[in-house]
Amino acid sequence: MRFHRLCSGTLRSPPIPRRTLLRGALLGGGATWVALPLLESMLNSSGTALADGLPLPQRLGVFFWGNGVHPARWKPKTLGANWTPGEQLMPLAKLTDRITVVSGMDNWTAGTDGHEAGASILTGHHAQLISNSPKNIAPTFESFDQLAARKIGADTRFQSLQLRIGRANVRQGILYDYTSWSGPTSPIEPERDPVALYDRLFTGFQPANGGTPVVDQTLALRRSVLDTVTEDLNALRANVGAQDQARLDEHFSHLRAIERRLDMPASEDRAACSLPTRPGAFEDKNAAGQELLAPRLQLMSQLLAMALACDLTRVFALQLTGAVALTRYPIAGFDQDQHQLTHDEPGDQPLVHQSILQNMEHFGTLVSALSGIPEGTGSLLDHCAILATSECAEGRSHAQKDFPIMLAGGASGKLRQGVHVSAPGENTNKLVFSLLNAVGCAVTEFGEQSNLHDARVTEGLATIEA
Amino acid sequence: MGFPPKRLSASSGFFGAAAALALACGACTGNIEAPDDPNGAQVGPVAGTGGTPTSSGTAGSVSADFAPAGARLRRLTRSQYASSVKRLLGEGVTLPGDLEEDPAIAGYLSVAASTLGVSERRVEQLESAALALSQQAVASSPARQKLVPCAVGAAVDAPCLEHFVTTFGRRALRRPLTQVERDRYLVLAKQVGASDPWLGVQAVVLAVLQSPLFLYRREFGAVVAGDSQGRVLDGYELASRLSFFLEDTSPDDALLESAAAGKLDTDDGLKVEAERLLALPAARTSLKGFAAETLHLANLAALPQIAGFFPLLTSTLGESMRSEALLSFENVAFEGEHDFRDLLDTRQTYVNGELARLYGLSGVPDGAAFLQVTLPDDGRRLGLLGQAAFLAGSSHASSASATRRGQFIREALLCQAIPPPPPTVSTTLPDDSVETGHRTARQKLELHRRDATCAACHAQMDPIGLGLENFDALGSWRDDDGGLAIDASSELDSTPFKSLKELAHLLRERPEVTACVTRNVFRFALGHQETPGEAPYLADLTASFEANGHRFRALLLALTTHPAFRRAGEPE
Repeated sequence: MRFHRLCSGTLRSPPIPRRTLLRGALLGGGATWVALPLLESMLNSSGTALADGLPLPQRLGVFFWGNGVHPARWKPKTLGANWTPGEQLMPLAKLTDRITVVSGMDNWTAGTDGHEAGASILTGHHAQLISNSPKNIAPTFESFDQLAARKIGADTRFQSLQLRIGRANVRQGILYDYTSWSGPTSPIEPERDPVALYDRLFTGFQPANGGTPVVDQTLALRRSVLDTVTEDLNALRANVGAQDQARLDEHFSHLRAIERRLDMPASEDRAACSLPTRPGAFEDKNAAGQELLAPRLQLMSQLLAMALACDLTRVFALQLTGAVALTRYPIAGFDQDQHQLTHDEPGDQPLVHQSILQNMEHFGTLVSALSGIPEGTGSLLDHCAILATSECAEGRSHAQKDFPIMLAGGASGKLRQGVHVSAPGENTNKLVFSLLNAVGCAVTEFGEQSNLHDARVTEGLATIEA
Repeated sequence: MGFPPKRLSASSGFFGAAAALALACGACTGNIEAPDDPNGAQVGPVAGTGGTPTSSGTAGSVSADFAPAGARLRRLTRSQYASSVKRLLGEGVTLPGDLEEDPAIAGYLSVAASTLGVSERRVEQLESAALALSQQAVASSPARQKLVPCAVGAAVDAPCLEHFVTTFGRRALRRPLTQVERDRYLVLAKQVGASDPWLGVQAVVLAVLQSPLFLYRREFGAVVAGDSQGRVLDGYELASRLSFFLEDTSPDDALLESAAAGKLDTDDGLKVEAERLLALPAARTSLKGFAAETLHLANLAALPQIAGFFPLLTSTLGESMRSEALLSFENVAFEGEHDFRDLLDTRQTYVNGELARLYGLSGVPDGAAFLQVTLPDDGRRLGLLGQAAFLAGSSHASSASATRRGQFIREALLCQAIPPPPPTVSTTLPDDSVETGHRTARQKLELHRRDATCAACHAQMDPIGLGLENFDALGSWRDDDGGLAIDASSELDSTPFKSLKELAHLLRERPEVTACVTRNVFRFALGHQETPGEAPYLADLTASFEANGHRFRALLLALTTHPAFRRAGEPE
């Protein structure tokens, strides 16, 4: 069967050289796509870069947990390399050479609600009310992972991936449920089901060294209708207001992403790329009805790591728990949700403390999954820049100063790994600026500058840059 | 970029927080309606603007002070997409189960669907769903016959293809296709179907199910010369607005026919269709969706309460609570001629075995089946606020929450906004200690009363909830709180009450409760928050609701047959 593109090029994005080569080799076939053999001639001898001079991909990630920490007990006890963990960072003691801690930074765009910084720290802008009901706050800007997705993710099958481990905070307000926003009113629903994630990433996908070619008979049909859909979209767009035009423009860019995916060979030629196992059943509650985050995180981390290793995506945001997390942790006596406990548990908050320890351990699970995959002369983690943070410094007080901030990954040598840096009072936007530039986004500024607020930065945090 | 860089100093940050705090608490004094809420000052007597449309053979006109809200596209919600697909392809199709859920704004999914952008994942899911559905649509001879009745055997000749595109397109786009659209789909069908026409048919289905013309509703109307009060919807747009509101799905063929015949152009014609739709089972389903959103029933799917504390908790109890609330709503809204406010103080309710145990009712057999029962006339449990859906849904995992219960009554029943606690204020209530011993909620919440920062807002919530302390966190009756006597006498805005029964009667007579029902139905139906220009419309609806014995059906009819229902503002 053979189809023609009705209006060729309408949706096509500029190809990158390597894939042009691959696509060129296949286009003669027209309608079906097959897995490619590993083209070893395309890699240089050391495997650190492609032979055509392109470096290994840079990746950017966000790891988010809710309700902060206990800052005094969380902060490392020493500065510089080989930092000594405070008691709440003990679960990461074996990863101190991988993880950089930045203490003392402030969120300059925090608002009036104790938890809205979940959006503002990632967008660099204040959140605002979008309805006259107080729970309906939304950001005023895209989250920085989406900026990176456009800049460094445009040529991958998935510009970015959003994952969620804990249960969504039903009806706490839309702000708290989402980590990634592609615009002020465009939250990105994260994937929470490992099987759905697997199918989305790997159905029809074949690692180049994986054997039997895969032929997806539906690709040509699916591609053939996208021009029609786009013409409908444009016709509708011509007859709506400016805000709806923006919504339809987003819709259009998502159609483009689909077309780009359909046009890509269903294979990757990266050394560490292999097809993972389709996840099976797992426990997500214990006998007491408390939520088990670990089994789901374990599966999702493995799938995410392989998605990165296969270069299916270069940008991700993993929400362990959302802002105002309502998780009941698998801890004896943890009989309220975490948010409630941060406010209700008296004294040293031993239960909240234990849940913070678990959150840190969960971050270690992700870091280990990425550092366990060899790439080039190091590991996959070496070519990542991951920001781990929360929506407040401390849940009990909603404090917005002295934020808990961790970085993992060396961004191919652009970021210092394994140090504790103190940056008291500094604007967290500087950190984002550093991360974005470390992975090659080439931004010259980041953050809000408006009549009301000046949180814009034009430089990064030098002490974390290598 | 025109502003000189300026550091945000610690002191200005503090000032900002203090100002915000004053603002937040200011909102809790006096009338706590949000400032741009037209209901705020409008309860009670309303300007007579012809609440019920005239029974003439034409469409009535809107009052001079009415101005419609700006027009926005409304994306189909997940359930609207599913029901519309079934209307197109038949009830038998299997829909992929992983479609992204819809969030709510201002309490309603419909408001979010006209506000939020669409995520890449959703567009991706819609594409996968469209593929699976298009495959089902042409998977077998019976399926093909159903989709394209004019096809004879394997053959789809040109006139038949054209007929298919015209009829399928009209159902999907909820209006006749333009010539350009018809040609676009025909070209697609012919190109893809050059060797196999059924592949061409499948391509049309695949394209249409992904088309923004299907996925978004554009009910923008057109400017009418000499009419300065907004744009006027045509019959097809009205049909959509009516159908998605009352049936949560695309217009059926009969409604499209009425639109084509111009029957919806008159108030009488619109009323005939509204009444027809209201009698269909889908109307109950759609409006139960309204009830579920208004009463936050989705939360009940995962009750936070802890089995160790509550022996009556089961894995199905939350769903049972939800069912009770929906059955009660359905009874008052659709059966007989109820005053809608009966929901607050009726002793009729619906229980199954586990709810009966929770409520201490005897004579209800074990099992999942629901029975209608009359609650004892002892003043303890009655109405919406005596239902576990509310009592447990507004509680903590291990303890009842007077604050949350009060907040629900303020926000969901009175439409009064309570701002969240200001930042940097510790919301910790001192726990029981050896010194204090166990204390009642009233004793613990005393702190809210003493601290002026807390009191401004908590004075609006805590007292109402403290009147419900005889219900534990799961909604069971309790005579005491861990051995301490419960003092459930309290007040609602300075009017004392001593029991749930008295509270329910107080609420029933509050004009805000009636106006709040109107406002909520309005948001659900029209997919946006009311604007000041729409205040006359809302006032008319409330007046009509009152004048018709507070019958819910009358409110729905008043809303859909009001001249303002035909209007749209400028696209924004």
